[in-house]
Amino acid sequence: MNRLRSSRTAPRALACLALVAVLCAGNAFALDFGLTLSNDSELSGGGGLSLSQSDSAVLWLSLPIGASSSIYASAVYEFSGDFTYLPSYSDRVRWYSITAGRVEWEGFVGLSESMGLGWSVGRIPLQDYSGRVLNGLLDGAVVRLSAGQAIVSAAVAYTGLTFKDDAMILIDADDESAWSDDEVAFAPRRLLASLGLRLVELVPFHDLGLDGWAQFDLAAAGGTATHTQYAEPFIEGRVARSIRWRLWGAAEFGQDPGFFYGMAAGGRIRLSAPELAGLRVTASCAWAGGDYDGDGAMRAFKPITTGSLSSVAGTMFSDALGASLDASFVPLRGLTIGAGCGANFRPNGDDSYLGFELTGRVEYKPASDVTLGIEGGCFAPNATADPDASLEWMAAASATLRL
Amino acid sequence: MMKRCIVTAAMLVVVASAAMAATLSATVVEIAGKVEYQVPGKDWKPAKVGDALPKGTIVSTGFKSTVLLKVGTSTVTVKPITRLSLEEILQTESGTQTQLFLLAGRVKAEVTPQASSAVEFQVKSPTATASVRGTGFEFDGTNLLVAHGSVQLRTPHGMTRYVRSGEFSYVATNGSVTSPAAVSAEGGLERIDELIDQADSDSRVDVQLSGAIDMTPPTATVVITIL
Repeated sequence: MNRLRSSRTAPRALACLALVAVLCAGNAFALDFGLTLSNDSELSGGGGLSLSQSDSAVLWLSLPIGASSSIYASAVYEFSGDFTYLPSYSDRVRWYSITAGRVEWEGFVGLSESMGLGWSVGRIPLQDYSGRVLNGLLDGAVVRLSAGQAIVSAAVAYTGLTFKDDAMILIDADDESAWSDDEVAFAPRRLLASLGLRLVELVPFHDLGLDGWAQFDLAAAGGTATHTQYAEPFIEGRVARSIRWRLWGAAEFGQDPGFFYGMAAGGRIRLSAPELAGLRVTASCAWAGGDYDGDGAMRAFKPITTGSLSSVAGTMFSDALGASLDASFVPLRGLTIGAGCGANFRPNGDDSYLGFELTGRVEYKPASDVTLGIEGGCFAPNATADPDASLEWMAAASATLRL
Repeated sequence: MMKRCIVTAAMLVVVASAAMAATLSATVVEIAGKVEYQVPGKDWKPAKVGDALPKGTIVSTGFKSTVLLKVGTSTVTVKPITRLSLEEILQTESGTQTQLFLLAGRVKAEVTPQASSAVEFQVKSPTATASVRGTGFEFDGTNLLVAHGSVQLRTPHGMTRYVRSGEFSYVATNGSVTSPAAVSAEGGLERIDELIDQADSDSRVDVQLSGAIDMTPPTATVVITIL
């Protein structure tokens, strides 16, 4: 992936840290801080052999502000390099980038005996219920009002200060053009707003809810503005102790300026057996509708932030269907072994089957501050649909040290 | 004459009710390390096996110190570095009512149900209340691990979830009770990081954020915020 970062955000990161440092002066006794060092190496093949290397250091600090809120701030240094062993490609090496990581002021206060208000402001993780419509670290704010068994949430966010390869916003042709332009570093300028409701255990052991998201295109100058809105009902719960399940659907409505719509849905069922070496088996399915009606108003579903359906193949979550099965267990304390398989489809195509994926992973935590991991996988594409496609594979190793 | 009879009858009912709702005390059964208690209006004193602790007593344990209390038909293990207030220990006609307030630290309770009477047992904290009828659980005011039976975990703002045998739940920093996760009760709340990881992975979305971003809030922050 073409990742672009620069040191242009260094002043912003330093300003955030300075602000936090000032606040620390009055709360130094409660200050908590640390350093997380990570190494990620990935070797992949298919169209060509390539090595991706990333080393990062995340400096974070946390401190309480008053009795009911706290600040968390982090700054990220990263070295990364993509080395492709093909004559027509050149290596990409970025010796350093310094960016702001998660910077968040969060808190919770009781408003009355039956009501509480929580908030989170800054560069914060934002996602819809499924994580398929929106999932990213964005600049914005969230408030959550808890009243008995109901949680009402509202959020606003802006995407234009996030790097484009982190935000992954590919809604319209303008976005795709900006994505392939190496001179453009930041994500398309979009204003996001959301309103959500979750009813906790309204049905015994089950939550019901509705997430609503909208994105407004602020970069219409010279191009076409594409606004989209999403309504996402969901239900999740547990059957007995061992089985958890969830189901969600999403309807997308858009204007560019003509009206269009798209559909998506997904589900997951998980069997947990902690007594059997921590065994977990998860079956999941996700579908993003295509343009099924030709010239009609229906189009391929486009989420706000684009995600992949699989680990090895780059099947995007638009006009695609993915089904997967994953199992993991913990044979020794700190050691987790997992394996998974999955198939991808494009129901709207002539030959809907895209391919099959197998993955495996081992994670070892010899101490709470150290994590070592290796993973590998391969994707066998459907040779009937694409005779030129070859087996794709990847092998990765990671190490994380938290100080 | 009629009026006098009614007044007398009413007084008898009041006296009888008072007699029925007798205040009990907790008894110290086992001690390890340094354990002290303070009866209301009196000074702190070291606990001894057999001491009776009346309503309103505050129990405090030091490092590597625990005390086992018998409260009615239930037992409470007060874990190290804990401060616990015995708010109410009442024997009524319908059963026993116990209400404890966890100022800091952690307790493990074994509530024994009675065939002929109800047992109401509550452990409160500034963050949440665990209410049970016939169960065994471990609670530190925020995190709840149920060994057997069923526990109602409720926040001060009224959000409630039922946590069943072999499940773990906690009150998140945004004030909501997380959906209970199936976990092994082995090790108790000592391995709180693993339990929170398991609970979070059940509620997490399938698509993970990528990049060198530390998304895990430090445990210490959670502790500082809540206490």
